[in-house]
Amino acid sequence: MSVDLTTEQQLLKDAVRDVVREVMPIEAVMRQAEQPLTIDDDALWLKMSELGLPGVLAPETVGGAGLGLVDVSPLLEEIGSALVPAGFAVTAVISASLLLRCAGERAGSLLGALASGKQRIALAAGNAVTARRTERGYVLEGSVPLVAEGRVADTILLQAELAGAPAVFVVGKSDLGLVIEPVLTMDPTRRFDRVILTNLNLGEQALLAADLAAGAALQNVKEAAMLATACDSLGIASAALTLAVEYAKVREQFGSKIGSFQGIKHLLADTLVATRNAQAAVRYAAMAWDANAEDRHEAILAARVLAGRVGVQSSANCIQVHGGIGFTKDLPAHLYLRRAKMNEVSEGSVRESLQAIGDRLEQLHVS
Amino acid sequence: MVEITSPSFESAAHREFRQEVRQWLAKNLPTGWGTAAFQPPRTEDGEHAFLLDWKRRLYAGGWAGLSWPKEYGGRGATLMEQAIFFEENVRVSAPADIGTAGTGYVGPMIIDEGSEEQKKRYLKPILTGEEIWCQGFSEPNAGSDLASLRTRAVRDGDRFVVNGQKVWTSGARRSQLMILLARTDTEVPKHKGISGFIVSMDSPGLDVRSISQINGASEFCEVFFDNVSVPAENVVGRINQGWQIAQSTLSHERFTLTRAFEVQFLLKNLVQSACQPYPGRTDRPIDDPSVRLQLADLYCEAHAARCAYYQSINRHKVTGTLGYDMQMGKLHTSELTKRISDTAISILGTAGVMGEVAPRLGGEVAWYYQFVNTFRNTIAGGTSQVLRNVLGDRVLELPR
Repeated sequence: MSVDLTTEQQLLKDAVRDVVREVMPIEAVMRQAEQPLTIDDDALWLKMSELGLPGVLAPETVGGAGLGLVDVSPLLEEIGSALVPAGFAVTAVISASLLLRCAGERAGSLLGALASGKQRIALAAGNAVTARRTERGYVLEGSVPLVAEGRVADTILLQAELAGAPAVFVVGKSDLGLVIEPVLTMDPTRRFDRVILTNLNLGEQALLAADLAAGAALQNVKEAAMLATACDSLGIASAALTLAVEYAKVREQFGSKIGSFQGIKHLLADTLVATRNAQAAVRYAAMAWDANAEDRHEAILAARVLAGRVGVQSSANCIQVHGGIGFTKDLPAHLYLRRAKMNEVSEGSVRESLQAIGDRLEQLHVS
Repeated sequence: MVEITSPSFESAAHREFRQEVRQWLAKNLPTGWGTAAFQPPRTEDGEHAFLLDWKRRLYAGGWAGLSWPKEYGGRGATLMEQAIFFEENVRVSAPADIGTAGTGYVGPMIIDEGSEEQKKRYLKPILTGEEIWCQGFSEPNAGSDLASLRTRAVRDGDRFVVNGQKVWTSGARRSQLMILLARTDTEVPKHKGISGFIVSMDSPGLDVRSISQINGASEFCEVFFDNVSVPAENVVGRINQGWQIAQSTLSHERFTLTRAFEVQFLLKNLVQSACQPYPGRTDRPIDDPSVRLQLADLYCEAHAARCAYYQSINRHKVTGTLGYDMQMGKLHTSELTKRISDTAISILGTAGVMGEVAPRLGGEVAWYYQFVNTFRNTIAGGTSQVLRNVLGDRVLELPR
């Protein structure tokens, strides 16, 4: 029971934890990680849909729960801790956030399909795709190198450059000219794909947003994605710390439990403090996001940096504390490390976030 | 529900309180405070008189004993209000509360553990600033291991006779009273034979000597006890229950030890310093992308410290306890103050190593002063190493 959560938030978090444990426990994750190109979380997605989780952010008018990021962030942490695929993060949080910011009937109906769990929707962002007007609509060309959950998406929301400005298109998985190729990455717990568009023709209704509206929506969603990644890393940090502490309590060498040695104790105490700090910063960022506070942007950047780093720090320490067995696949420790390190460099990386903060410091502190 | 307060989205009540503090500070700080226009006192006596006057203003403004229950002359402020008050003071670098030992932890300890007579006699003068207190706990052989203290108090009729030595006694030279921990029983386990006493600094046989500190100040003192007579009614709580007094005092003190706001303040100053050209040049440290990266890193840590601190206070609202949050905060922020000052010297070039030897009240503090000064932070109030042990043992429940 976490004192930082409301009763409702705690119930949601517990529900996710229970579902994950039942349907995709760590042993299943470790087994699937041996074949990352064929990761299957259909059973998990089905259970989550039964709980209404895909619709957490969607408004009640389309069958969603109308919750905020502050309610959803503990769920994202839970998913990070469990190392299960990112279906929830991608569809329910990132794609939902984008659709919420696109006006029009098409966006609304997509949100409804998303909220029901019937449509898995991925987002292919970035500057890799160009769009051109045609008689009947648009034609798209390009290749997005890394799209989370691409291969299981029924629908892909695509960022493209249209007449020199950002635009958001909707692409269906069966659209002609669309090829989705699985990509192997450092992280075998999640699905990543290359999305290739070759002379892909779309009708007028495929354009969800353009120009300033699209630019603003995409910027907003980038922040939501950064926060979701921060939550995933935070979940990893907590799980890795727990695993390390449990081991340190039982493993004996030189006649003592290794947790009594100060080298180990201090390492874990530092990880505890860093995790607590990141957790507070992530919570603050989620609140600032929901309140559209004036310091929202810096708050998200800072949370992204702190959580991104502690995810790696904690999982690295976890391996170290386990000694020799930390280097084997008998433990999930290496999966924590891989996923945490991938989180560090994914969209809006820790490095870029630090740079962005650095560039704003003069403006923030010199008045 | 637990929330983290921020000036961007705090409750209306907290926002009003914050405004009230800001306005009072703006009205009561001397003209030009924090700028070159302010003329600070030039002598130590002058500084002391200034600080005593500030203490009286705090009392007149109703801010002394903010945390104390109203029945004892305080304002009964919640932890959140205390934190907001603290934050606003740090924001404008307000003068230190010279009576902070009294209002921060001696007073609350007397409220918790003292007799009615002691409360009547000692509480009000703490608030008004008439009596300043110091803490006689640490000894040359009892620092981190406080329970090993050896200063001895032997019963002799209606008084105790005290012999021994205390060290690191902050502000002893300017104090009228001391809360002393002394050994009253040598036959029992060490922390069961300690008692707490109220001692007048005027007592015959009590000798105070300043310690020469590396930051140039001499606020810490050694205090020697040579057959010092302490009336029996000056025992706080019961004989041999002094360890409880120590715990109560230290836990109140811990709340005041956070540097969550100080690190924000230091970071802001560092950014401002980094926006000044290097001495004799036109380019500035902040123009260098690698400097910006270093500063951004510190920004994130300082931001986290503040979030974690406010989160702790909110947890306390729900659970009634701070748990080990203050120890975590102290460990993190004390180390961070060192990192910030260290970075300052490293990135500012020669600008960081010049300036006044000792900080002037209300004036700018040279970075090299800060750098040396921050070394105290990871030692006093629980060393970083001891704190890591405490967190490992009590929070992570690792084997001892």
